[in-house]
Amino acid sequence: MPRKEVLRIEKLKTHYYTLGGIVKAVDGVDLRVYKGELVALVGESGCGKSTLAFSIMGMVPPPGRIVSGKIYLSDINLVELSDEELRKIRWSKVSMVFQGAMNSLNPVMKVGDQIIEAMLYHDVISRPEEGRSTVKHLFELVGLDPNRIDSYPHELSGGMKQRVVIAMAMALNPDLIIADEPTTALDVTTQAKIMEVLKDVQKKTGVSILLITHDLPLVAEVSDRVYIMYAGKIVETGDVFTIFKSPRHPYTQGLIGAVPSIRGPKKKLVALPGEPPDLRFPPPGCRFHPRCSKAMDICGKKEPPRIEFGPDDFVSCWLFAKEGERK
Amino acid sequence: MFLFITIMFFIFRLMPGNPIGLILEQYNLTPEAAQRLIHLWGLDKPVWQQYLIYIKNLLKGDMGISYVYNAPVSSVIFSRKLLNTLALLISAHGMALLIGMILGVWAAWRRGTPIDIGTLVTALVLYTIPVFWLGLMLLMMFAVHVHWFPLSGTITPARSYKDILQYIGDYLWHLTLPMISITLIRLGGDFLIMRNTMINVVREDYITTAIAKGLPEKIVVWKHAARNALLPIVTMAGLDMAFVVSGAVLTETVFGWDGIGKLTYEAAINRDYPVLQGLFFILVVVVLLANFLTDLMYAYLDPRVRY
Ligand SMILES: Nc1ncnc2c1ncn2[C@@H]1O[C@H](COP(=O)(O)OP(=O)(O)OP(=O)(O)O)[C@@H](O)[C@H]1O
Ligand SMILES: [Mg+2]
Repeated sequence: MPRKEVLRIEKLKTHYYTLGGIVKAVDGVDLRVYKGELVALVGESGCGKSTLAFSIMGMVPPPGRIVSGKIYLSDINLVELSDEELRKIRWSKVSMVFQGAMNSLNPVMKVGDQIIEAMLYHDVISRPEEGRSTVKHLFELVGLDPNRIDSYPHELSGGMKQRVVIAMAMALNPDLIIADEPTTALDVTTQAKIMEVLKDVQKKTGVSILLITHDLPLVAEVSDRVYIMYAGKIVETGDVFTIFKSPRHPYTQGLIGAVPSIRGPKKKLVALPGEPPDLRFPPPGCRFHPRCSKAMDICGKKEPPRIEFGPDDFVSCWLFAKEGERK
Repeated sequence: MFLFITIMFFIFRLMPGNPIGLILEQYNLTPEAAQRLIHLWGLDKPVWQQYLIYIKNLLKGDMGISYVYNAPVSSVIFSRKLLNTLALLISAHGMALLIGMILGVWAAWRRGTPIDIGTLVTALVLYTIPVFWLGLMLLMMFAVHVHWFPLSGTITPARSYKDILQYIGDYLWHLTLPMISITLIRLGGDFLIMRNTMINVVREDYITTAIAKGLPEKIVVWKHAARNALLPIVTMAGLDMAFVVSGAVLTETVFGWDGIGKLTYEAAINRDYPVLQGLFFILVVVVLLANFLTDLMYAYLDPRVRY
């Protein structure tokens, strides 16, 4: 089955040029999302997940910038676009639900107007009134009362705001939604409901979703494929069964091992022993080797090769390299 | 309010200097005439009796008779002077708010660029300049050195006008320098508040979202960010009324602008208590009114405080 590629990232590097040094937050990432897929991006705090997301949106905050690499969104390389071209792509092709989405709504504007506005400035409609029926449909899609269109954010509960944000992300029928820890600020029951909404929206519209999260049980439940990120690099990827049933990278094993069972009670990610490295001065060789229980000599000297097992199925680890290469 | 009026009454009586003495010097009155005046104004009665009479009259809306103008205080205050002051203050503060807000928003958006830093330094300098010094400087430069603007007054004395437009032109010409000096003085503060608030607003998630939505930069800055950054400056504008008045006193005196500020200054010099009391009474009313208006504005700007 030939699958249509929605997003293809090649060798992306995004660094922050701070006074204290260059923070290599994204350092050579390859990632692909196909149509209708839910792809999870998992990694410890500070490994560069949000930076990757901002790179795709073309809005890496200064002092950061994309150093090299390519980001293809249905065959358009976003890295080469001008500001105005980028502005037009944003939200129409790729929208985003932000980390801490509770605060993504402007407190002094009606929620409906905030959605209509996106349509207006992408020339989908020419007058605000024309957008109202679309917004009501979107509200129904995410399970919100359409009469809430003229509410202000403070009149809504956290879960309702989150639904508005998802509705807003769908306003222009994008190919891809990036959801950066979309449920962190919510209580557990609401979290589950919101994830259901997101899955439901995906089923009805066929939109692809890149889900960024720490929540491994959630990943196991909802995603099709998983990328494991560590210190600015993708260390392993595969379909959700491979990753959870037979994880190959010691880091992935550590993450999964920290969660008792996929079906078991949800539990916060237990930190692996040790600290993630300072991304200004990452360790030489494999960035994980100082924390790795299976580290060998070579791991601290040379960067591990990428061992491919199939399309979109690889691990970057010396353990899987042929004997002859481990020198 | 009542307490305020009472305190005011006694403070003015305690000020050194004697109104009758000053008037006697000025007009060369005979002792008998002076005696009649003193009796007419009730100044021969004990202070507490004067106070009771004052309160009684105030309740009737009568603020007393000006010692200097020999006319009811209300007609001294509610006159062209009030109009002149309103023209000056509203134009100057409107201008300062407008320019300060636009520059503040813009500088915050371009934070850290040389333009932002240049504007910031200028604002800090303006913020610290005393108003009378700036006024005198402007006079020196534009009225004495080059005769672009008049030295003082609100219109050219003894000039006849062809039509109303010419009159307005002459008035505005006189208005320019005092207005610019108040505008400049206020500009610094307005700019700093606006820039500060904007810098915080720009970090908010809804601004990131607005950018991600692919909205044009202008819309993000003005419709989303600036709108949210308006609240503090509105509050400040409301709370700053007392400062506004002190600025008006100095500016009007320096520029000979025939308004309430100058009246205040002259009344204080001449120990014209009834006028001073009237002025402060009105000031209190204005401050209360300003606070009320601020609340209304706030409710309009922020849906979270609407009832
Ligand atoms: N504006 C910035 N300036 C300098 N460094 C930054 C900036 N933003 C992020 N970083 C650094 O880049 C690295 C990656 O940050 P990022 O926010 O992408 O991590 P994350 O994986 O999203 O973490 P979390 O799970 O906590 O959201 C971190 O080390 C962080 O300190
Ligand atoms: Mg993040």
